[in-house]
Amino acid sequence: MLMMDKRRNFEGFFFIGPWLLGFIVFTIIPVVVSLYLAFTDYNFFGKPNWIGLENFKKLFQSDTFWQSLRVTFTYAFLSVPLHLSTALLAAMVLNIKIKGIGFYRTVFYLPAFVGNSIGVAAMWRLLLSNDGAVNSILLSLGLQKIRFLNDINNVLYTIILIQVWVLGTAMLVFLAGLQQIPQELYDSAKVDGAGGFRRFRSITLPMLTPVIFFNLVMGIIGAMKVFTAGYVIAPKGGPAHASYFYVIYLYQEAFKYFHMGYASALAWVLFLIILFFTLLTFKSSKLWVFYEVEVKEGSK
Amino acid sequence: MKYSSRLILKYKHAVLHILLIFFMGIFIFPLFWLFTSTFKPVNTIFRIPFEWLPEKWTLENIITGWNFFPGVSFTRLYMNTMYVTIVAVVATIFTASMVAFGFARLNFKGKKYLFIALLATMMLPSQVTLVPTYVIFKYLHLLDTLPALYIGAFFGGGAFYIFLIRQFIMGLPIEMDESAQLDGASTFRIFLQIIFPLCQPVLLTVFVFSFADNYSDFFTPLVFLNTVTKFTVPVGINMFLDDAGAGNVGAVIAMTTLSIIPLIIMYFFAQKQFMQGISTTGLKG
Repeated sequence: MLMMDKRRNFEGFFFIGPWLLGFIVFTIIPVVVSLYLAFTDYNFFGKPNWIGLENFKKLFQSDTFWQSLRVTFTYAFLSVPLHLSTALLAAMVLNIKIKGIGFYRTVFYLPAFVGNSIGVAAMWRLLLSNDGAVNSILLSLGLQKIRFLNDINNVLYTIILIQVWVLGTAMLVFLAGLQQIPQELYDSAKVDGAGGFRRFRSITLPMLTPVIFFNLVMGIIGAMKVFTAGYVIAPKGGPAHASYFYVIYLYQEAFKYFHMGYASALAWVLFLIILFFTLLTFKSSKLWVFYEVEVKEGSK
Repeated sequence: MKYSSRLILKYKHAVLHILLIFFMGIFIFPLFWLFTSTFKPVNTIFRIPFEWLPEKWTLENIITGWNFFPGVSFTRLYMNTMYVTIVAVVATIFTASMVAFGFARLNFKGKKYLFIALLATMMLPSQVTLVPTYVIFKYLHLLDTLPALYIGAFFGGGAFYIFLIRQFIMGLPIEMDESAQLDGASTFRIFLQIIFPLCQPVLLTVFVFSFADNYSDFFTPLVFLNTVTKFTVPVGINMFLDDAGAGNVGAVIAMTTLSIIPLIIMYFFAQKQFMQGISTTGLKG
């Protein structure tokens, strides 16, 4: 019996071995080291010296830190709701059974698939620059140019609006959610005389709350970690740091100035912020997320 | 009554089609512009009035762009990218399914806690481990090498893929494993000859996403690579954007277009498969 257990353990650890090894070497050890480095003046070339809370003091006094936080929060609080509502709208429209619906879905999801690439970020930069394609269309129509990217008041909002283009991932998750809603609910609501908006408010929305919750958590985490869009669409954080995202700041501190201790402190602040918002969303979920399928899932 | 309601439905659908085509046009326009501008002579790209299709088609932008960097053509960058992407994807598929099989089918000490740890790593922003990883790579002599970009794939390739495959294996009937075991098959054979082939649908999803992830990864090579001859396409494009500036817009556009094409091909190749895959298995950030 004991031999059996030993063999079983051996086989189990053999199969999860690759992950376990990577987990120890590339997650556990780095997390511990990173926590340590956050309290040191490590600069990659010298030895780390313990400086206590100095990095965190410096960080909270840094204007750049607050600016990057302001940019990232503005982005998160505007782009996530905008992104989710447009994705939901798209999912509801693409859930209607009409001819060619598969084709439409394919086209509307495509941007999400290519959207993380730098090529797409470069595309936006070329389209929206001062002499870019969009401005040449505006001029052709007899309208005024818009300074999308090189105006400190516009650049962040331009980047936020662009996020609507990649609504596909959230849209597919919503579509999957919509298809789980039993048609009978709508039918009986219709019999009871509920109008389209009422049915949306009383059936669609509550039934979708688990999916909205999922998209919300993923959206917040994703928004806090934006890099490529901020780094490429408006070069290196935009004019006067108007689109200087938190991770750009972290990247430059770590790998441009090699302030690696300081950058580790920045990383931990980022982690705490993400943890805070994730826990907040989870805690609040009890108030608004409606789980109808719990029983079904459990019996699986 | 019945006739007129059908007419209304038809009318509604027509309006819907018009709306969808309108928005589809807006969605596709950026890519359409990028692709057509690739073939426009440089001086007409931003011309007013706006030119929908090139008046004169030219390959000049592609040729200038391809050889723009002295000593390093895009051939090199694409070779680097393809090498990294292929190794990473193949390694991910094998190690992720091994690990997934372990978590789905085998029993071992601490499995529950290790699985929670696996899920928890999805919540951990990679920025936290970034600096120490850089230092570890220095000691492993991986800085400024291509293996720095794919080594992670040999360790399961990311919690998300492991989770996805594990969910899929959980849905396969356990009776197959049991009868194979009675016939004397070893655990390894059960994995390799029964489970692995049956995982084909989910592995295709993993293939497509890890291809796209690795192919378009910009941050990792930006951090770990310094030498231009080792660059992948995304860092090459970034350097191009910085260096070329306004003078070579045509070449920048051409290289940008080319960099997106492999993704679009991949998308249409696997579109049907993973549209279903994602709507049944859910997620992907």
